[in-house]
Amino acid sequence: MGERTIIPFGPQHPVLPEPLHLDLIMEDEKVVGAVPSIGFVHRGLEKLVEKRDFNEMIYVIERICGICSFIHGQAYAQTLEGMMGVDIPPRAKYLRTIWAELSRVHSHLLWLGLMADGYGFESLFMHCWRIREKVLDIFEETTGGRVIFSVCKIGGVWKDIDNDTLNRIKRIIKDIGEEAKAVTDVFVRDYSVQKRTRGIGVLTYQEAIDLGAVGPTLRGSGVVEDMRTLGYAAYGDLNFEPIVEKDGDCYARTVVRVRELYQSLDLIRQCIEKIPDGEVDMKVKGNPNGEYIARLEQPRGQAFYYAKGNGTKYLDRFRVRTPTFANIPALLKILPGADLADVPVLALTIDPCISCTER
Amino acid sequence: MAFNVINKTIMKSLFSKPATAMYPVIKNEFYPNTRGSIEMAKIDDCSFCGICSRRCPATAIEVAKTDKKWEIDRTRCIVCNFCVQVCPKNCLNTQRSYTAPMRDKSSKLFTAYRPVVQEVTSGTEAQNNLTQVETVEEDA
Amino acid sequence: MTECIINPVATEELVDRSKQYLQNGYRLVQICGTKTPSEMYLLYSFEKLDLTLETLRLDVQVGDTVPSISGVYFAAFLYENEIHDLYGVNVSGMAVDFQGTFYETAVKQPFSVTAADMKE
Repeated sequence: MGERTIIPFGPQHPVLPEPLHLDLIMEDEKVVGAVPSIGFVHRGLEKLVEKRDFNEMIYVIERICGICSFIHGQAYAQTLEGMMGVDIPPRAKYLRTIWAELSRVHSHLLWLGLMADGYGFESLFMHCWRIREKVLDIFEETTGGRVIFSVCKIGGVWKDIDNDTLNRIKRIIKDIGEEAKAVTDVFVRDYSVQKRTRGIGVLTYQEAIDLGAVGPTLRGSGVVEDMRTLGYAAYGDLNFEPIVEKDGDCYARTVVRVRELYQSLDLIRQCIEKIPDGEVDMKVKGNPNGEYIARLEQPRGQAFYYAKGNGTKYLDRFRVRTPTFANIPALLKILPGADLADVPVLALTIDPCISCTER
Repeated sequence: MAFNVINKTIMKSLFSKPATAMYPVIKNEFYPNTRGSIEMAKIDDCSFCGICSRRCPATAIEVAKTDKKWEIDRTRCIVCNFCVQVCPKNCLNTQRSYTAPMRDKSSKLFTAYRPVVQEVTSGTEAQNNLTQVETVEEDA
Repeated sequence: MTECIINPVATEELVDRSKQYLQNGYRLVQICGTKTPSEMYLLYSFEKLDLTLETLRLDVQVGDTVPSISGVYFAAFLYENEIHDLYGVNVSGMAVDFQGTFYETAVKQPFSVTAADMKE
């Protein structure tokens, strides 16, 4: 029985995008236990529903997180539209799907870069983010902002994209797919990358289900669950299958995200070909009253939204349960047995987005 | 199992021009839709109803009906565009350029006053009664 | 929508209902608290892999004690610590108990008072 020491990991750490604290209980070089500690960016945003009316609240909800910002805004609009019984025009649904899938592309490219940085491969990190710049330019051209879009509203979207721009986006998507091929090949085929990811952090099928993991963390262990099959927004008309890998280690989760990247590029192409003409917003009258639950697929997994209205212009409650909150028990399960040098890779493999977790 | 798969990307980036631009020599070009900062484009049309002030999520706009003053605190504004969209007279506008960095908070306010034009009976009285539109510019 | 149906439950049957859900193959999705000037309740959501969702509603008051379901669903300890720190509802028997230090806020239990209550 070796001597036990406790090593604190975080909250400031070069590989972590956001502050997360783990107290690692170590025996020599192996981790035997971990205690998480979050709450460094808790801003209490959910309490602002009492002071901002339901039309302005969408701007607060978008700013919960910088990476997954659009889908939070879309989910807020979708939850309130469900509560008020409003069905938005089809063109607005397709536009929201295009922006949501572009969000997924940019989030996965960001994560691939951070993962490369996690095992020390900095030039690969820079190449991933160079490709991501093209996606951010599309966002700035169509919505006005690179990170926070402010384009969803209850009843549709504020801005339209005309057909010339859509055709140009189709060509840019094709270029991104070709450029990303050379870079994602390194994650999938390179020998030294596989040495750092194969067999590390194995999560079995039954453990992933019991611990409540969501998203690529769950799908990398062989469980088929993707919220987009519920058919919200325009996903009911599109053709896709959830992507699943069997092994459950870090390599499987990386491959799931790489394949989801290409699947999203294909979904955007399908949307642009099928988008109908028409208007993009509609007038919504009255105040929200009642309760509604919505579940959406963020790049990191399933996000759960619950809204309660009471007939005045202020909502009673808006609850956001983000995917990283559900993946933290899975992180605590895969840490024991790993080396200290593997801890950054394991912390990044669940794709932590801590500012979403503690709004 | 392949070794050094990154070589293809390295060769390509050795012989192509850099991906980054030499800022500040080359400045960035913004798109028509870019949300940089909010400005009051047509103070003459503004009716000082105060809708933009009530709707602002960051409480950055202040409207005074009696003084005919419209003021925005650029350091509080989050450029969400909501005021531009709800204005019933369409007098607000989004500029492409971002608010310049400032050393202290003394120049954070952008104020616009409505010019007051009264009935004039003589030339000198017109000179005395006309209030100019005052704008406080930020320091560069 | 069928997924928006919320069923009420009493404090005594909470752990038994959770065990039934576990045997039927459901997973825990989230636990959340809501406080309005007139009522206060907790919501427990469970889902199956074919995406059916069921929600239970438990009426509580600030300072009540509810039993923990982290013996049944391990992942519940995070949600229960959050409810304890933000709403002031005590949860007995959590698997990992942070004892009030999960979120360290300047004002203890910030969500247990609403803005409408504070105006009075």
